[in-house]
Amino acid sequence: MKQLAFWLRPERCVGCRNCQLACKNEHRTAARINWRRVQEGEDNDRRYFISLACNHCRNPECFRVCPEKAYWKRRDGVVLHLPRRCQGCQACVRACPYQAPRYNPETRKAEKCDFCHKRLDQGLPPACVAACPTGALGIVAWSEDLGEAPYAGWPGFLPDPALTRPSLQFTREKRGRHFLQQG
Amino acid sequence: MRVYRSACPCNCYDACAMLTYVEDGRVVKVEGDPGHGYTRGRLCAKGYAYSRRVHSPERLRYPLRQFPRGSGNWQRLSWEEALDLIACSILELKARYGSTLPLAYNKYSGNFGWLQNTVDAFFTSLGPTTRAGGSPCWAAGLDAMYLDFGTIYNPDPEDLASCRAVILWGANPAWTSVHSLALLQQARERGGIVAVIDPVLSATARWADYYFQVKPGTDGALALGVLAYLYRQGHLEIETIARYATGWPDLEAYLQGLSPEWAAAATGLPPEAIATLATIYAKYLPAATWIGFGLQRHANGGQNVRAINALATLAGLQDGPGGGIYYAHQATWPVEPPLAMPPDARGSNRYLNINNFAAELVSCREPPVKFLWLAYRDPVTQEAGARQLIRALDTLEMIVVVDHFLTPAAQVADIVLPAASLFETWDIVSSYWHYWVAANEPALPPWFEARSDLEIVAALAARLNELAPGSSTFPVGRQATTWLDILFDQRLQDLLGLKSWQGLLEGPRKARVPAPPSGITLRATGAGEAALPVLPVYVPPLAPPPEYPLQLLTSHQQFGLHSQFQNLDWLQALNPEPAIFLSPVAARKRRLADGDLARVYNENGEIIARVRIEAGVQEGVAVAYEGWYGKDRYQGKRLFSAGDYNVNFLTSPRATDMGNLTTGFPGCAFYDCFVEVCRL
Repeated sequence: MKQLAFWLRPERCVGCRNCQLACKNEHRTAARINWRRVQEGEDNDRRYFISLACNHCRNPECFRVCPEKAYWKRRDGVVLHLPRRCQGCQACVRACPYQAPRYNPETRKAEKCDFCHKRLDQGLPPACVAACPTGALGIVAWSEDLGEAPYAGWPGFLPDPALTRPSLQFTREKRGRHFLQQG
Repeated sequence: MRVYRSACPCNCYDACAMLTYVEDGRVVKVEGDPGHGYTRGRLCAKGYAYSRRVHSPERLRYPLRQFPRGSGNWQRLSWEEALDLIACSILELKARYGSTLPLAYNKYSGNFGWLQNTVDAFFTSLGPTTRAGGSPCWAAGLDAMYLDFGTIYNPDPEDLASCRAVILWGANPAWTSVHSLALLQQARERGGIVAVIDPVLSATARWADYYFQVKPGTDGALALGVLAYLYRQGHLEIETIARYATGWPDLEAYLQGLSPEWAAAATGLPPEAIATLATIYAKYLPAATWIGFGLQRHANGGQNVRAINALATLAGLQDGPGGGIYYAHQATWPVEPPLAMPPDARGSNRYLNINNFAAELVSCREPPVKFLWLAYRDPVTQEAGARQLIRALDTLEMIVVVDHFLTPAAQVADIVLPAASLFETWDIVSSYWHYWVAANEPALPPWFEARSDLEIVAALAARLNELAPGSSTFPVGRQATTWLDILFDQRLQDLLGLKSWQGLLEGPRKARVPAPPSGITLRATGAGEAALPVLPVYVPPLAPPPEYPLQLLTSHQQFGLHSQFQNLDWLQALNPEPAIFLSPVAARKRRLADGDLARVYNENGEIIARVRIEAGVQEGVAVAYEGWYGKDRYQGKRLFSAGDYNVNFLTSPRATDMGNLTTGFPGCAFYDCFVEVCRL
């Protein structure tokens, strides 16, 4: 079964936040609500930027815990949130290991990344992917369940992918060589 | 929804062309214009926040008067009242001193659109006036280029994608030129490498294949050490050098006295690093060297650029073209349109050093400066020695600020005029980096009573002529588009292959890239005349005084561009409060923990910032990013008051070694600033 996934190459990410701000520009989210966020963490003695949004998991916890059935998963694997049904109970906000659904106190509803499905339908990549200058963030379409293979380069500071089977693939690349001050 | 062509004019390498989506009189979205060959449909984090700027609730709506100055007691004026007050001040001063020299203006890079030239034209139209000359940005490096190559030349940066090595010498494009990263990534995918030389492990350095952490201001020692190593190893093509470079025997004699160990000691790098960088220059051809603006903001900055020029040129000669030295250019910039002064005007303009503006403003005599027009910049945030500037401004009789927000400079002004944004005006934007030029068309009706800078000076000229006929020669009825017709002169028409600028309304266009210089002058007699070393020899940087052992680097921040953008809610959420970045060792010595509030101080003043401990900062360095933190509160908490954080409370207007030849004044050694840090 097809599953769209985000594809990260952390060694290419410079933390420019183009993805994060392009997302806000596209979806006009409130100042403190980010459907996509660039996080920073340490993995194998180096610091990395990781751009995370909703991982459109194979086993989405949001979908499982929502009492209003406000989540559904499309045939292409994209997990969508239906604000019409959302009562703002925040069960999904608490359940998601990646903090993808955010509670908006103005609308009193949750909201999250929709994979720019309207752009996808026009044949365009998501706004975040289009804005990435280095190819650190991309998308891939998994045609079958790849098991654990996409998680091979999973950074240690992110929650265990076994929980929800996130649609997030990592490719790790060569690291640079540093000549630092001789203290 | 309609889509308009826009161009970001905010002093950036990339100078993006944008597509602006407008619905019900509001910008709902901006996108990069895919037709722009350098930015290729992408913007940056700041650009993607433009909708928050143009419709910001804090954006100035009406002309304002502050009385008394600095009191915060603001009164709304009509345009008539505002222009009357300004015109009367101009005419009264002209009568009192029998001269227009008491009238001064200071503008710079907040908006580099072509129509900025109309403000210069307005002041020309009054007679000889006092102007801020020089550049706080790139002056020392420009002079170094001019001394070495006899011209200011930048190769086409799109060629970076086909280089085998790109050496980013003091440049951090991850923060300041994000579109260039796409080209560098292409170079890597073709088997090329990227090396970064920077005192701080920047975001770009983390991403690169090689990173060399030098002590600040020692770039020249690294360049010359590498060049001496290549010479000894026989990697230089001496015969080619003799043809292409004048003064080689003199430099050769100097290089014979240098060793990798000397360079390692001077820069703080291990000797192996010298050999590694030498190998990159020798083996990865063509190699491009991108010299950033930061490294020339030292007292020895121009000299260091000359040393890098020598290395990059002489090491690159064994290969054909394609590599080269990248710094900046002005090939696609317009010149100020000619305008006659009034017939009774005598004398010529008086120029004050923009980097020492406060001192020169108060020492001006016969006649003194009494009136100041500030536009396209906030010198209170951006000028070294900001406290001195605030005191100097207070000696004036009239200060007019034209801006979008109530900036720190506006807060010490008498009259503040609301400027139209790029979305409400015509303009054309060129880059000092790539060769694309883009038009900007109005996408929105005027914001409340905001007017373009051109409309403001035209209305002021008209009012002056009503009150005192003949006092301004400014063509008050000339529209923005007519000004652009004039600025788009034969030279620019030829460069862009367009008869009229309206051709840019079909899409951005790339200018012809000029021919590269024909040789390098290693023995620059022009330098000798300016009492500088004729050869690109090493001049050591200033050493910190014992009481202020940390060198404060006040580089560009990521979520602002100088004093712009940081105050927008989307960007402030990412970067809510200012920080002082210290090495783990420097923090431990001062018993500072990550998250502490600290006082950063020296003989000039102090600032307050949150301590951030970063392993990528070296021990003798502290980093505090420049810019205006536009709000005192974050998430309802009062953390900093407006006067707490301005890195230029700590800097002093110390001159760089070079800058006179190309900009009329030396640059500013912003980074030769020494401080101590303690817990608040």
